[in-house]
Amino acid sequence: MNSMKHARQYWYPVAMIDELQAGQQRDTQLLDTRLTLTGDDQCGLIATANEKALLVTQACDHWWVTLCDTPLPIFDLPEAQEHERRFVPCGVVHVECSPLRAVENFLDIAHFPFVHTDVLGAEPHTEVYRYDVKVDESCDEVIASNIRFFQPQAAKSAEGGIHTEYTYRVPAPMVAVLYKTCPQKPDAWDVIALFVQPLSEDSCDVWPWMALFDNESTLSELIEFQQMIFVQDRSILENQIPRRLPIDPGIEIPTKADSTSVAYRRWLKQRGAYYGALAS
Amino acid sequence: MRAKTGHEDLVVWRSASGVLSAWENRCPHRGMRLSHGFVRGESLACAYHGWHFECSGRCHYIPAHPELELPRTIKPTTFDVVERDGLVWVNTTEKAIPFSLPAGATPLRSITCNTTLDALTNHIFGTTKPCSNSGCHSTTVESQQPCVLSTLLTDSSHRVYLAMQASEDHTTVVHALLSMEANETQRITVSRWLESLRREAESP
Repeated sequence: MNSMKHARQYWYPVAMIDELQAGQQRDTQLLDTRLTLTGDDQCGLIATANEKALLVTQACDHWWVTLCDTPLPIFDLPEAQEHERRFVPCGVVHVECSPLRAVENFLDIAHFPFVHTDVLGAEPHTEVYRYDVKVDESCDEVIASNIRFFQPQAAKSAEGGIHTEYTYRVPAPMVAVLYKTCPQKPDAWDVIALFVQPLSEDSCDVWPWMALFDNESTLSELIEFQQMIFVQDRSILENQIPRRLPIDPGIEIPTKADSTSVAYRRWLKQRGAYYGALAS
Repeated sequence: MRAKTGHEDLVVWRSASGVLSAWENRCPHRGMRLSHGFVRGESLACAYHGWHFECSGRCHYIPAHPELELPRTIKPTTFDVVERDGLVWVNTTEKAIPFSLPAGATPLRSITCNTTLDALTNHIFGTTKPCSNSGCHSTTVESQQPCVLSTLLTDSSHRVYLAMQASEDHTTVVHALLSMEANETQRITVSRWLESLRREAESP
């Protein structure tokens, strides 16, 4: 199966749920294809490509679209049904990089002290301790767990530095979900997800989404925090060479701290998920 | 800083003790442009994960694994670099042999032109008329190929040397030097002349 055919089987985010009012229209792009989005009278969304209506669904406060008539099921995120959480769609960040590079950066913790200095990490707390990575065959997801890292300000609600624990899930090539220690509720996990809309193989729109236990921060404070983090990431993502993700070993040198990235690249390769990748 | 020659994207940096290096502008770890990094003493630290590279190019410290013994093989591609007459010369394929400028040439400024090297040199050779607004004009142009260096004589009796550096993205960086110590007014005059040269070369 070629890379485009593979990529077209999945669902991709294109807008936040309440973004388009009835009759309102916006053009966008998905997998090199021009799309038109129109809000309809029943608070729904009509998405068309080349005058053909596309399948549309809702999940996690976003509209999702697929270019395939028989798509794979959308990923499952049970936390989206937990109504004691605060759901925070954070808007969109455009990044001139491969959608796969955006996901890989989200899975990376070793950059925190350098890119998110004094927020998600700080020198001298740079060491990445051993953690577990596996591909869960039952759900076909990359899972990284038991990741521990010192964070000066792990979340908007954090007061002072804490040792944060992270677990990552990659349920689709362009969707990554992070479960992290909740500063206000030590027995629960905050959820932060990255939904990536691939415009082309080397440009994307990123829709961060959060499901948090935080009763104090305002919505705009929470969004501002996440946008600040992502804008810092963008300065990296737009300066990686090559722009597409090298999927074969040899072009880039990983270390033990990159176990998640290594598993992610291997998982993409085994599934033929080459859209946005550079194969040698 | 970042520099480009032909198709090569380079990082050029100077260590605290003054050692100059020119490398491929790509961290071997995750491809980040090293020109976004920070000079830390005798090392260049990548902006993404803080990997430290010493002047030879060898990576000697990975912050995620502070205790790890590193193989000598982790390094970006390095290029031969020489400093002379206030210019940094790089050769990406063999040993760098700088073009010799007459004694006393002093650097003035570098400017980037949105035009190809050919178009720019053609423009310079075609410009023997006075540059109206600059109060200075060229009377002769000598090409000193192959190192893409031209000289111009201005009416302020200074020679201006232009070392030109072409990039694959159709831009040309011009490094200008003056033949002798010039006072501030003279330097500003030649600097304005350079800007008008760029403006004219860029206009269709």
